[in-house]
Amino acid sequence: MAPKKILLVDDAKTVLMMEQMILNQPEFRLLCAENGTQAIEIALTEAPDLILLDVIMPDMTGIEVCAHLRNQSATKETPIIMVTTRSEVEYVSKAREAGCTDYVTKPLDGAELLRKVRGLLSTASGGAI
Amino acid sequence: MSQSDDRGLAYIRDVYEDSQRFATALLRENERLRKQNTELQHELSVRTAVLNARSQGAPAQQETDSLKQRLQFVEQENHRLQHEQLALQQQSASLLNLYVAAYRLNGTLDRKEVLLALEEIIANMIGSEQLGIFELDREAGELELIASVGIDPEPYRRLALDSGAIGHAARTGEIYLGGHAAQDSQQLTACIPMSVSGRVAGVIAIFKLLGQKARLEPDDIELFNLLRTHAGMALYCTRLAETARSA
Repeated sequence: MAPKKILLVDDAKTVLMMEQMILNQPEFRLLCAENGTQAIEIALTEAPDLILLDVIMPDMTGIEVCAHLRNQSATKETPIIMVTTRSEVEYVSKAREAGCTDYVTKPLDGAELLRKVRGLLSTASGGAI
Repeated sequence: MSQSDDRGLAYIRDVYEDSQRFATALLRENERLRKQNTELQHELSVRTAVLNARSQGAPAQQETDSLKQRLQFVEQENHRLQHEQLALQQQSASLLNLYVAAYRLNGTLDRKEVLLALEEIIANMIGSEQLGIFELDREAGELELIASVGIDPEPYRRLALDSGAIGHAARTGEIYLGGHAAQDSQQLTACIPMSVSGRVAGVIAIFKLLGQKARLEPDDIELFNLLRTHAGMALYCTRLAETARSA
């Protein structure tokens, strides 16, 4: 079976590296973007099976990127996991309104992240939180 | 990066990959035992039902007791493996953090990049977006704030070595840990002295933790110990590189 494509989006190199190491599994192929514009470009050309999206980024926020991707037919159904330092309800509800499928909070819990990624990839398409 | 640093990083990576392989094997074993457990439970219930129906005597009762013992053993094994699996996952996560932190700090000679890496490590591994990074000005006997996130920098621009926990960490070279996670931006959660060849070169002060992080964990202390040596050396190397570039 072909490896599932996962797009990792974060402006912090440290986080990208952590995510790459956590998800460094034979069943995944990892793609990386360091900002929202790059993320949209890669998402539309590569059609990843899942997107791991940081909320706070300098050019476009993760919430804006998520809303944009939900308006594109190619990425309308792609599971999106938001990665945020802010667990407050307002951010979770904003992420939900933008169409994210699930979210994880920093500091990242590798086991939790891997479980969520595998869970979402095993279903046909992601639903709401 | 020196050859010894390269070897150190390669070692950490090897240990991390080994523990991941071991964790995967444990997961498989755990799955096998769960399956065995389920089968035994099913077998036990079937046999108990048969026994009840027949109202058999002592020999059948012995068989049931034996099955119950086997089931108990499998359940204990399952429990033990779950504990081992959890411990390995934690160890694996801790090693991953240490590897990434060491790699990020030693992977550049650019001062801004090292400071950014420090901020990212503290935000994403420790879980704090309020911190200050100080360098020791030996001539003035003061600590100079060289980077900060999420705090008002004014009160911290220059600190005397005898001022509070930050100065204490610089004077003694010992990590300061607050009694509990700071609840407001004026309280310190931790101060980590940064050393170069055994001499304190600066201090990292961590203020309030993120809301979802209730307290510091043992893994955080491991990371503090790594920062104590690697962060100071990384900043020192950027100074050397700057001097070499301008010469």
